Amino acid sequence: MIYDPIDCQALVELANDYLEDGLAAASRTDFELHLATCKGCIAYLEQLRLTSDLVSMLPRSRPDEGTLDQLMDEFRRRGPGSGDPQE
Amino acid sequence: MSHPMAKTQTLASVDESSLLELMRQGDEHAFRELVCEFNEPLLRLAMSHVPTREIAEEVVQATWVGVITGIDRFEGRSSLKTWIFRILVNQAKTRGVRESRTLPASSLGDRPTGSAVSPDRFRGTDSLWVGHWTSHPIHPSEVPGERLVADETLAAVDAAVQRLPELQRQVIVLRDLHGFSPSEICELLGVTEGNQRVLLHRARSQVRSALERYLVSPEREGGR
Repeated sequence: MIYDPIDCQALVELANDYLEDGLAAASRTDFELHLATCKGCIAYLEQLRLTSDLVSMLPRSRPDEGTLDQLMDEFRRRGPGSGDPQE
Repeated sequence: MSHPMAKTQTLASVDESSLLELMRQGDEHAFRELVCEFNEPLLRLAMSHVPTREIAEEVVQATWVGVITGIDRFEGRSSLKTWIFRILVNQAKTRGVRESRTLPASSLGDRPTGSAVSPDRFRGTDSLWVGHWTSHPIHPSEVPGERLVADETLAAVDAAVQRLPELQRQVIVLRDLHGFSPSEICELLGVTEGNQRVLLHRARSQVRSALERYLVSPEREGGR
């Protein structure tokens, strides 16, 4: 008889805490015991990891040129090496 | 088993100490890199603290000026990134808005059932296997690697992130795109640890759900 204290429906509610190392030891053990024999939950966890990794790859937009120019001016005028006394 | 991609590191986390050194020497290009890297997340974060985009832009501008004039005094006790974002939060606070608070559950953007995965994906009490998957989710290794990281897949993920309620979006972007720790996120957004965990859980669950729909039927989910 396999000891399986949590089912898939319960696991998915804990999956993110597991990835974030936020599960207490006892819960983590139950989690991993279930995972050891459940292909569905293994796949789910991998999907969750993939989600986080894909978000890390999202493109970022650049500030517009006008804003950038203003800031570069400011940096030249008042930044390190400008000769301006630092506040 | 893991899928075939490495997590992209942010520019700042890889080159932070060299960027800092170059900036201290007055190197414009280093400063420009920093602005390009962080202007957008700073703006997004500012908008969660102040009422209008116009004010948010002012706050971000003031933040960069603070960075420019304060860089010589930066002692490196926190990361450069954290220091910059703290300047932003302080700037936003001088414009007198949102204070730290525990959020009521409704503002966390709850789904009607509050569950990470729709209950219809699991067997009900009429089955011997109550609580188990009715059909297994697709494992990422079953999808061709190049498709996993294709522009269309990222577009679908981006669209899902954009659809999230405001705070959930902030949390997942700060955590996964910009690499802030949970405690830094609590500090920047003015939320409790408990809030942050729930927000991240819900945000990632929603985006995962959209990603799965896309991987299974790309023509239907797409960049919707």
